[in-house]
Amino acid sequence: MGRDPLRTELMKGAMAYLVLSVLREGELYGYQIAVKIRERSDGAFAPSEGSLYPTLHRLETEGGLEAAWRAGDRGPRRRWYRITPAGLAKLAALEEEWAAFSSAVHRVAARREPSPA
Amino acid sequence: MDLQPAEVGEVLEELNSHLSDAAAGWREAGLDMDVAEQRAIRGLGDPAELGRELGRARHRRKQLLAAVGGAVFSALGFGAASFAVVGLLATAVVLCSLSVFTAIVQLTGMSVSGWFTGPAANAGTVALALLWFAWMGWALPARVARRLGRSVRGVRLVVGIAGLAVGSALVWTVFSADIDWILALGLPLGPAAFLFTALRPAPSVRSFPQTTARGRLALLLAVVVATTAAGFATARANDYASWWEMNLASIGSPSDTEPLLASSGSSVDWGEVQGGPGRLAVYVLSDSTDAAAFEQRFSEFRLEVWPVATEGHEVQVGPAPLVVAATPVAPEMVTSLDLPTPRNAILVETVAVLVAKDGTRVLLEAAGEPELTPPWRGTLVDWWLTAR
Repeated sequence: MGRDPLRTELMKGAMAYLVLSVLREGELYGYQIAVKIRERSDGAFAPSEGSLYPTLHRLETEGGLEAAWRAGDRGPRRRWYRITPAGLAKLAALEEEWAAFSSAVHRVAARREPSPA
Repeated sequence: MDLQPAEVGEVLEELNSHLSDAAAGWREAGLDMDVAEQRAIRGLGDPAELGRELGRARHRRKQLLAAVGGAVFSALGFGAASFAVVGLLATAVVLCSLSVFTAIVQLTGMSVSGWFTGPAANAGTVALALLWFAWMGWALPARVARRLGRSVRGVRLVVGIAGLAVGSALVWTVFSADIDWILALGLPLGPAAFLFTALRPAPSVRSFPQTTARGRLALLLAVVVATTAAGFATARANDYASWWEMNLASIGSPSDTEPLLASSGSSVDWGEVQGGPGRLAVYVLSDSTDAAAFEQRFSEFRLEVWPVATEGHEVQVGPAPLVVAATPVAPEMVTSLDLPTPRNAILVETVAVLVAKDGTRVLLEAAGEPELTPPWRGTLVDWWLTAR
């Protein structure tokens, strides 16, 4: 099933926001993060691994996330991610920026110029 | 993958665990094992692209450092260029005004000096510095944000604090000038003005008043006229020496001056200030035919700098010299001393004194023209911490 190109581009821009949002509530590993995002969006957002893992690693490099390997009860060990104070600050900034952006998009889309008589 | 060898193992392990979780998820959704694994693998997308993206993500610090370096370089370049522009404009205006000023002085026969010095000139310097810092604070965040690929809002605080720190370091420890109270209090406000404008949203360029060519010419003329007027306002008349009388009573025996000069045949040649601010060289020459008698009578030559104050047409000498430089007397002497440089310039008079064998101080000659002590020169840190 092909993806909607617009949605893919929007996902790329919003991925850090979505990842930080789900990690605000506790530690998760990569697959769990993808599942949570998909479930919370009722399937509207299904992040591909190709965009999820680069985002996780970038956020870790920037100090917004901390990662630690931990052995699971069954199956392979996993890399768990936890949000840091810097990540919380970035999340707050992203929330503000996203609210301003979506509000502006709505204003533009909702405006109707009077048609010339 | 664009990853270091040590990173590859960790990344592959993480992706493997993801693939097994994803395959398990698809199996729970009802797919066969083979199909579930295929779906999980397909979810990773193009492996080469994923490797490149992971490499970029993990080496973002290097990219960020490069961007920060570029931003700092850009900021320094912009700062230097804008400083040069402000300096060139100020020089051009002063040169234009100087021509007008000189022409008026020559036409009217006025005698003035020291224009663009003193409190008014220093207030102008402070105003220019504040304008420059405020302009930098207004313009730099947008340039730095563009270099870093971030929003202006995101870099405003960092740029503001960096500008405050760098600007303060430059103003306090590098900038060296003839400092007075106006500069000492006004210049530190410059970096604060930078922070203030950096933290405020930059106004739209369109909000600046637009001027026509005629308007700009009128503005330039107004600046030249204002600068010329400032020159006259800050200049001092040179006719001071023609009407004062000096009261040397506190120095000692002014009546001894003439007989001594006549009998000893000595004279004082007051040299020029040389060897840096505040250093005065004095040449004492004697053409006495009886040098031995001269040496026999006097044991010491002193050069003294006295504080003086003007009251009406009289110059009152202070109670004690500020500086004394003493040497053994000789028919020909060259001596020098460092004039004091207090924070606030004061009028001083330099006098030459001979000390007789019996201890009598004899005034040889006064320099004859009270002058202000050299302006205090140095950095703001020295001015606040070491100046008297």
